Amino acid sequence: MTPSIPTEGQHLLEACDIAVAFSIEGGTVEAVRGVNFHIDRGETLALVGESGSGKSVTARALMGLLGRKARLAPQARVILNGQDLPVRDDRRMRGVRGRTIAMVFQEPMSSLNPMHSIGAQIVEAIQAHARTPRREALARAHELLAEVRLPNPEALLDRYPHELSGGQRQRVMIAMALSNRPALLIADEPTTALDVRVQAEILELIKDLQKRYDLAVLLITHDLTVVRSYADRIAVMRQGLIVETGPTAAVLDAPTHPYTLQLRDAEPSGYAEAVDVEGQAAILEARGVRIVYPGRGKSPPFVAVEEAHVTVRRGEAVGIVGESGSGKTSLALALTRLAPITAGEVSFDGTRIEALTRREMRPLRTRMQIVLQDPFSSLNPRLSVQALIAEGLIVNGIGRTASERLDKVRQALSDAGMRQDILHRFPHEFSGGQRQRLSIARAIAVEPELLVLDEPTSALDLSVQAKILETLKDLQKRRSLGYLFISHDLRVVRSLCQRIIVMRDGAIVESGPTRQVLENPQSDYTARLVKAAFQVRGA
Amino acid sequence: MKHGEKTETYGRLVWRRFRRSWLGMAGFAVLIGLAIVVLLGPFLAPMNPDARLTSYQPPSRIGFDAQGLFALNAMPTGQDDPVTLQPLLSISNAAKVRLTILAPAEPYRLLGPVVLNRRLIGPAHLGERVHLMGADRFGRDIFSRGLVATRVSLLLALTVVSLTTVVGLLVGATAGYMGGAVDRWLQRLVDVLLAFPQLPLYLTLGALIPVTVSSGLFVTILIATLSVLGWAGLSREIRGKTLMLARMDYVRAAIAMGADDRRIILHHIAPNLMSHVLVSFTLSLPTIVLLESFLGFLGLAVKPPMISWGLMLQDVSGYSAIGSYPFILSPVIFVFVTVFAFNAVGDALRDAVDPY
Repeated sequence: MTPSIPTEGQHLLEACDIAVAFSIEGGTVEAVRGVNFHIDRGETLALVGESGSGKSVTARALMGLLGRKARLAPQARVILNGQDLPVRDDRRMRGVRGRTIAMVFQEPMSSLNPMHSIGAQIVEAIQAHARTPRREALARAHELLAEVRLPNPEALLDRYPHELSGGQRQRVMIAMALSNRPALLIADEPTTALDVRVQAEILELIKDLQKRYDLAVLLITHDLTVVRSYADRIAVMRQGLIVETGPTAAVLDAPTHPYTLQLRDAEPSGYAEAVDVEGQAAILEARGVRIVYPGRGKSPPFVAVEEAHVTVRRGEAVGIVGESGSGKTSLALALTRLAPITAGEVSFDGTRIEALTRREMRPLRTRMQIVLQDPFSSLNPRLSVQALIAEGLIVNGIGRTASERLDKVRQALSDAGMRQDILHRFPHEFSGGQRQRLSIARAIAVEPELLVLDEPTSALDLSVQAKILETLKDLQKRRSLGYLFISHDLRVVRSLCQRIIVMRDGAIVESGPTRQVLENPQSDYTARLVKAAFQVRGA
Repeated sequence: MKHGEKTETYGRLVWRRFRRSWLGMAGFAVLIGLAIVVLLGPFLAPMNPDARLTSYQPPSRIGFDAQGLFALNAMPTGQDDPVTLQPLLSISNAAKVRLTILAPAEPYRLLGPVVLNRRLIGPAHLGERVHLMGADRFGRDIFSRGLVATRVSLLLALTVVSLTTVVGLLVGATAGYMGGAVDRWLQRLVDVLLAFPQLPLYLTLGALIPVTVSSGLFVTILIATLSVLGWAGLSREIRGKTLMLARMDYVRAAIAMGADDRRIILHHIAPNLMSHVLVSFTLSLPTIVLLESFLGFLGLAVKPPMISWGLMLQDVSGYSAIGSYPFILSPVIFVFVTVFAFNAVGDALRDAVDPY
């Protein structure tokens, strides 16, 4: 299609007074409450906000993809190339979606149909909007895959989604989005599910394609580092409203709205305070740990971790970083004896624990605790807050009377930054961040000496993450806790941990004091990780 | 106090979601009605369920005049049907049978030691009759028998489902939690039970059990057979659910806390299985009620003096009677209403039990 050349002063897309309400049990929720913005050709507008701020709903409203329970306000208008889009007419929007406006979603795993080959899916996207002979469409699909810089596009056409990595799948999604030469690309958290390095590559790709096709990009994200590097303008959303908008650098360097300031300062930054651990005994010491998952049937055994050495001293925070599949969670679970160890030595406060049974481990359990990644599956939905946190006390016979235990529960709650009046409430009544605090409270209630944290903040909003990191730092100081902190986010690790271990494919590639490793990485891999995490494009 | 608060909160959430389904609420109302019938069946029945009057008496016509409710029972006209040679019946010369509240009755046992000599509604005088659904082969009132049979049919189903639920839950949870060899052997046992050809077994049993066996022993055998064959399906579901729950992070957190197996099963796995069990329980009851009536039709029903819907349907297997007296099929109405009610409640429960 040949879009009309926009006249002087006319924007590619104008969103006027977008307001969306969802009907729920017992009323309506106004998810978006009157949002105005515009996007020009060749420009990237970043829509930034925390979960629940309405940014994804706004994007879906532009596409006419709101669903049955949502109601778009009657005064809301979307103007594309000077013409009103029929956003309330699903049938007519079909001609717009994927043709003039295309979308890339967060989850590349579920956005592709596992039953069809990559080639077939791209061909389908092409043929949905134009009568194209199959041969021609296939040639075009081939071209698109090359364009998104996928290696060996010819062979890829016949492959299936499960044979591709997350990053490759996201490239395929972008290829599909570009198949009809859209004028506007909506990218809804396109890299959140990907590793840092892959994330940078995908964003670079979008930037290049944007230049080549004079594409307008609406980038929805919560990551301000991404915004800084890739967006021309920024619109900050909060509770369904845009609170501040303007050129990226101007807004982020000198925010006028307190919320923008708060968001910006929630970015983890700086190095963790140095802790004097000289002469402190190691609370956890592991030598040559090897973890092998036995193969099933014909599949060969899988080596998850090899030759890992880890030392955590009292009061010290040690970070394990690595991309997904690097074996960091396997290692953490094995060190706490929640997963089997194949070989190696693990000592906890001088006691060898690698061969202990679950029963023999019990006396040590109160001294080492773990906080798991997913705040939604790590709390039993049927137990009240009080029962959840008191469990460790009851199991280990801490506190003689119920009231003594209750005092400890209250203390743990307040240490984890939660109010006291929630004892009889249930996990489902809390947000992700609050649930993670409950997990932390449960762990610290038994007064451990070592706390293992497996990606405790990766499912949370930045501002929530910042508060939890504060809490952790505070606890470390007051209780002289040792942390083994697992994360894929170097910035978080930098701000919390004194020492850092970098893992790749089950092996430790580098370890040492955080500042030394990050500023002077010895391995190529670490250097690339650091670059991807901290780089600011064009700077 | 803590416990009460917990169940109340969960219960309230479930109830709020359950109320959204009007079908479920209707089923729930019917279940309450059925519970009343189980308790007060003989009192609610308008007739003595064992009294033998005219065979295959068709349903009475119920009317209302200035003096209140009355029933008209068809009487022989003295002529025979030219095709079937059966006597023709008509209500044209029938006398009005007055119906009153708290009608007199021969003393009967309501429940345990409680003996009554009144019925809620019935003919005003002893010896008079009213047949809402007609009378069976021996001239007994089908409606009254159906009401009284509710007790046996539902209690039988309740017993069977309770047993299969407990066994299925224990076996499934054990297999799912222990894994390994225990799991493998239990699964093979489940395979065998699920592959068992049940219908031939029931027919064989019907033929093998001596007619002289007492009705109590017979019911025991029936319950035992249905229970032994019934737990396998649930145990497999529970096993899968336990496998899933045992991998939840909160179970891992409990292990990290030093909790033993007993505590993990009782506090972390069992409560989360309960919703599934509750739904399965509600949805299994109607299948047993159906099975019981079906087996009765095949001849494997409880023995008199007990009355069950299955036993009542046994009479129907003399097919020749159905053509002339279709009303003898009416015990099916009781089965139908019960099955519908439990299924409606079960479906609504299934949508409601996971409020989180």
